Amino acid sequence: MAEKRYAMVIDMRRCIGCHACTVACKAEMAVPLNVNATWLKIVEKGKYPDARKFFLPRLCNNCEDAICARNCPTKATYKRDDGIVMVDMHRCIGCKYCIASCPYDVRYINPLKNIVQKCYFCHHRVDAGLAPACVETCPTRAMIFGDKNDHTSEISQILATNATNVIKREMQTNPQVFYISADEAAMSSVQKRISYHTGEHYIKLRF
Amino acid sequence: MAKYYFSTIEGKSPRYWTWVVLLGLVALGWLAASTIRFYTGFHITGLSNSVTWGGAKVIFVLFVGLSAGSLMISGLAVLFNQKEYKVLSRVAAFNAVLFMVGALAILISDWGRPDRLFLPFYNINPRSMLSLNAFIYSTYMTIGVLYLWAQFKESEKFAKILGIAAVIAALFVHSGTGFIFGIINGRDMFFSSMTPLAFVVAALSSGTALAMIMLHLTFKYTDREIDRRFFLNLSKIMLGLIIFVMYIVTIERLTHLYAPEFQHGETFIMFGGNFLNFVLWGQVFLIGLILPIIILLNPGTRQRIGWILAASAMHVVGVLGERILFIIPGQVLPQPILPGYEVTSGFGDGVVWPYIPQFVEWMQFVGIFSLIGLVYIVGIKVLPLLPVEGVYVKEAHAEEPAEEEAAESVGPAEPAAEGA
Repeated sequence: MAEKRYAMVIDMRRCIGCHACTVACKAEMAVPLNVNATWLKIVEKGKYPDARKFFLPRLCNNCEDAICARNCPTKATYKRDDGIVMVDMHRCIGCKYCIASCPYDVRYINPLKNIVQKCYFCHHRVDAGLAPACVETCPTRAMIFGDKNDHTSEISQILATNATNVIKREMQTNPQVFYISADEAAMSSVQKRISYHTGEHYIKLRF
Repeated sequence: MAKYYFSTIEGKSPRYWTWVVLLGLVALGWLAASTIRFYTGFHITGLSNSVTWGGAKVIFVLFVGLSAGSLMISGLAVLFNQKEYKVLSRVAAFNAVLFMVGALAILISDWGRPDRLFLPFYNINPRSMLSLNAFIYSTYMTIGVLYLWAQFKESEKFAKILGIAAVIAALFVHSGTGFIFGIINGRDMFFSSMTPLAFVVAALSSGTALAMIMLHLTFKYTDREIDRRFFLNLSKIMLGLIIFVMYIVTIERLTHLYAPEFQHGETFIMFGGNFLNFVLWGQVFLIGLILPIIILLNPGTRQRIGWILAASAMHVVGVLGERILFIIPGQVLPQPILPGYEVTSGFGDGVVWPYIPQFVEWMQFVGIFSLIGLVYIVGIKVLPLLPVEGVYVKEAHAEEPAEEEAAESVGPAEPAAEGA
């Protein structure tokens, strides 16, 4: 069997926007105030009564070709053999080059330690045979985590039988977080003009 | 043979010591601010997770430019044997080292963990531009110091060899610094092959401008003489460089307007109704480029030293603005996950991040300029950097160099401090 390659699938048809993943991540990884390693984006579309919310949980994509690992001057950011992009907290000099390089804005400076941190797919839990905290806590099982090179795993079967999408495919970074049925407006970080039969208006982003 | 005689300044007047104490105190502010920042944490700065590189990086880039520009002027003068520019050969070499030290000081105090300064030297990542720059900068510093030493030795041969090395090293430093930002393909406003070139040219022009200002102030306050023609000649070179800078800035902006992925960012900088519009139109184009070009072209003003110096100062301020435009817009703009749309607010998604430098950062900015000024005025007292007179000592009285020391001290040495 090929070597392990951890990945995550987030099924947006199941996401109810409860922020449980955000909270679980904060608690598990001791993420300080004002910064987040995982968060939920909410986009409101339409006008009452034809209104709907769309969600998009955001976390580090643990890219196959990570720009941050390429640009780190001290190799503090590196890729594990199983595909998780790690930050060696004893090696990071806090130059913030990786934050500037990351197309997904998922890295943060730990305001207390002055070094860069991010989501590591909860590597300590994964190494112990558990699922990441956000996956564990998701009440609707919208998040699925596993080894996508293992053909018997749930995630590889889901990836094989569903149409998936990744954020910013054009960056050629090969993100390892796949979204099913993600709304285009939610995937976009930008406001755009949309037209529905209800009339023309702006999407509102709210958190 | 025409030759300059160099000497130290006396530096005993009360005014000199006042400046030393004043600049020293403000420079201590930099140290204090950096320490506070290190122990308190990232959150006391105005930086955020989107704008992680703020004013410190802007000043870093400005200083690298001034340093390498200074060294290139000195080196090229030696290289092409331009005797009349040798008046600044020593002081320009000294400034090159000085500004590089200042640049690295502000850069490292902007790091989260300055205590890990030497880590990049033994954990080398050859694909990272910053990792390579650690070596480029240290090589450059070494060459700069050696070149300064060769200037003191008055050794033509060494000065020439090291001059060539210095010019090449300066080119590498510019390009390396430009590439730090130019290769960031994740953020559209950064990604540009024009950045290194723009760095080289703007560094040369601002380096010339600053050299003129510093020389004029120093000569004025030490009651030494300097040849008017020196400024006039240098201002012509500077005019050419400023026009070149304007050309590069203009074509880069115009090219960006045509590409959908840049369009949004460019219109934001140009007409977004924000602070950056003032930086672009006011600071860069009006103060930094158009007014200096007018001053240096107008027959009524281009012969007047005062106007030339004003143009130089304006240009340095303009280049500072250009550096701001290099670094800040790429970060305050949200990352367009699907390109070509407009921006709004969220959990950090799609927000135009405000960046307002906080008090600690201002202390760092002002302090680092004072540090440069302090080391400069102490440097010209300790080392024989300045010519006794900035005019050719003709062969006739070359045997009896003017030995009398100028008693007065020097003035402020950081004309670019405003606008930072």
